Amino acid sequence: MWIPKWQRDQEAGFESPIPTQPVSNEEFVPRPQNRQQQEWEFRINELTDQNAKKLGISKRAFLKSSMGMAAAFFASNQVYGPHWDVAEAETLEPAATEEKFPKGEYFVFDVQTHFTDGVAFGVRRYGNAILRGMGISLEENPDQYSFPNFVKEIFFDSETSLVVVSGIPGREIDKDQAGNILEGRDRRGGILPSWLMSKAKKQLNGIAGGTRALCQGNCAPNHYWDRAKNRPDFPALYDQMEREVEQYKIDSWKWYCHTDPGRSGNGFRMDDEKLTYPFYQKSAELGLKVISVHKGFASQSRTLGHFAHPGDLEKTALDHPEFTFICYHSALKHGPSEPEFKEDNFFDPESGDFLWHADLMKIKQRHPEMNNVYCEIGSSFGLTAILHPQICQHLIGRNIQTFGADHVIWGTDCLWWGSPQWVIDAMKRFQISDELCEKFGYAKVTKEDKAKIFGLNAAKIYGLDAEQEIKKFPDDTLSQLKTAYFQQGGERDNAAYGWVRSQA
Amino acid sequence: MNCGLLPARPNRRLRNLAVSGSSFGSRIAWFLSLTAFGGFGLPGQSEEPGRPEAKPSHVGRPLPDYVTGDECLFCHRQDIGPGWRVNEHQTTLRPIESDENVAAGLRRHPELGRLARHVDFILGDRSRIRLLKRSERYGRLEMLSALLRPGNDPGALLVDNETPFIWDREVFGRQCAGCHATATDSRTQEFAATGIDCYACHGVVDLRHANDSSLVHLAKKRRDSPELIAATCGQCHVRTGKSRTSGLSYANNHVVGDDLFADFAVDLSPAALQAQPPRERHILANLRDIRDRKTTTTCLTCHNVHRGDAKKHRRAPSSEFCLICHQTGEGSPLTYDRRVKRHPLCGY
Repeated sequence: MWIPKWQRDQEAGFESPIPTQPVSNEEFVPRPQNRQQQEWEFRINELTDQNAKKLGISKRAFLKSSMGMAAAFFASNQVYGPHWDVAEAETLEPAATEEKFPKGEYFVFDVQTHFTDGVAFGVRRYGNAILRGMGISLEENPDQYSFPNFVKEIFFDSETSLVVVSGIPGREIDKDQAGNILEGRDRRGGILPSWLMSKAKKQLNGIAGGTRALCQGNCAPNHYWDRAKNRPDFPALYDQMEREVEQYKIDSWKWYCHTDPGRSGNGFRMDDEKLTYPFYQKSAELGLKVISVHKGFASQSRTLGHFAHPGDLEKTALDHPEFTFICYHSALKHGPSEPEFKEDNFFDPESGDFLWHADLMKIKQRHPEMNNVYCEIGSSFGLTAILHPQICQHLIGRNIQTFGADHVIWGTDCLWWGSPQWVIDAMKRFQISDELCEKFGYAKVTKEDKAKIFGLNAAKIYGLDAEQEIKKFPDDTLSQLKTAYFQQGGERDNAAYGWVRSQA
Repeated sequence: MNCGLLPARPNRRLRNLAVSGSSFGSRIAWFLSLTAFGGFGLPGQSEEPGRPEAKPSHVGRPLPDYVTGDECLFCHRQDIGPGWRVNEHQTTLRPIESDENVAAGLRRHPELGRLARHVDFILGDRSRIRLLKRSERYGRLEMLSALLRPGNDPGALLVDNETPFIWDREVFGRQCAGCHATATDSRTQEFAATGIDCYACHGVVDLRHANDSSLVHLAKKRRDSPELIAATCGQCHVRTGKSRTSGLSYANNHVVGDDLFADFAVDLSPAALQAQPPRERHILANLRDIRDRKTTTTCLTCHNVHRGDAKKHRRAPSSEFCLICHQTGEGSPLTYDRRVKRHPLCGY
């Protein structure tokens, strides 16, 4: 029987400080948290209680400190095994963490960041029960997904230095019914349209006085459709492409092959010679040769989910060696909060394979010479790190083993998951176990590997001189604003709401 | 240099960054500008939403642009996504790959095996199965003339008519597209997407619904009228209706919120109702009662569309309406009359 959580707690005489199951919005059956997650949360709470008392500070203050973050990883090790590089001392002394992971050690370039055009996206509520275990509670309102909060969460509350504002499925409308060309907001384009990403980029870089943001364009081969001929409306498509490259100054395309905002009647394959290859040709003419493509996380699709399979990268990458293809999410088929993630056929612990990621790996294994496909790890790293460290280790281990450490790209999918700092912390502390290294031949992930993953690889793709960019950051306005933010008492919100019962 | 990216509620900490009288202050003005103004609207949404007084109609007009289901599921992937993939509305027309039994049965069928590679979609399920392929034309499917039904063994397919089997280019558009596909234009009989998309029931969705769900038709918070709910479900589930203008058995360019019955003629006379088996009759009787303002019970009182069940109907108030399907019988307080009227084409 469904029952409001507060009511259940009241009746049971036990007010759980954290929810032990995702809280449903009445449109899906709430799934219980598994035993390990429950235990993990319990241990974090216990450790927080204990250490906050020792230090004479509130639980809340403890949780928003580096000690709170360390406590979450320390408790994870107690439950899941020693996956994270964390010492008990770090849960009591901020200096211990600072010594081990000095701030600024890595250049963090996040190629998958989002905000919305004033819309509360709704996705945070699914991650909240999980993240709350780390002392993170995400608010669910338009402000929290807004551009100002984007700046705060990404640039002020995390170590991220540079971002790509990344697209969400949507199509701009070019003309009104009278045939007049539309501009700006009138072009619509969904909750994060190309014109808005472009404005955000321009605004951020303008105020910073340097490069702090790049942006993507949502235009894709099936977005403008000639229904009479049942093929792309190439003139309209090319007009939009020209607009996005020349006027919006986009740095990459962002494709969702399994969506059909142009009502073409279908998704599209990246290796479709009639539909997609003309797009490549036009894009090359325009001088843009970076394609970012959402692969995996297919349950969001209705009937077109199969278009999110990475199989079409093979032919297209081989046919277009001059292009760079960034495979978002590393083709992880289902996120850990989806029921299919827990099904037997999703992950094979014997082989280390998991759905669709294994297919992406096989492409590279078949074509070792193929050098223009990169594995991005947004959401797939962060969520598996928390919920299934073993899959997480296979994800990173296999990406590096197969594609090379210079072909793994940092992305977080934040703001969806709040400030990316917790994901950054997770990567800093990440390591592959001896057991998996021995069994699967993975190498330990070195600091050099992490530096490449965190930003050096993406900088190369986007033609940025990382060394030069890093030198500019401390003096630019955004850094000054960040300093002022902390001086004025700014603090990370993501750890400020831990254990809030009323939100359960 | 403000690009209009303004929060509805200024962030206190950002606002506290005000530093005046310094060169730095001029740049920080940028942040202040982010917080100084009111909220911002989404494109094309300047008008206050509300329920229209005069019901619109799209008969003879092009269908509007709308947010497609795949876009909807980008946000609703977790709540609606998993269930919707197996929901009967969604699978009413499904890719052949999604039904291994039929796909395997088709491949090994002596007469149909050679056609298997052409088949893209399956229509129907338990009593009748039809095979379809994509047309070269936009928004159309071609239907194979073979009348199939499942055999007793898994994957077994029985054919009820004789060869030669041909691909019919028109029948799906003429008879099926209105309710087995989305956004079908009655004039051209072309559809925009296979299966039933969110648009079919929720209409043209205002993106601001993320902040206020009452902006979406059939949202719980909106409390749509019984008439609107009846029209929304009725556009497909009133199977005895006919469009006056198109002559087709499905509604003419109906968009949720339109006045369905201005064009879609349905006989709600006692004789017409009596001629129908219980499943059809309860729909028509409910429609009649809503029309006559005798009830506020609607399809959604009993049916949960996203979950695909009718468990809630046990909670509906008892009335004579129940007796359409449940008859009292000797020895048993209620029996359920399972008679249905099958469509000759798809078996629904």
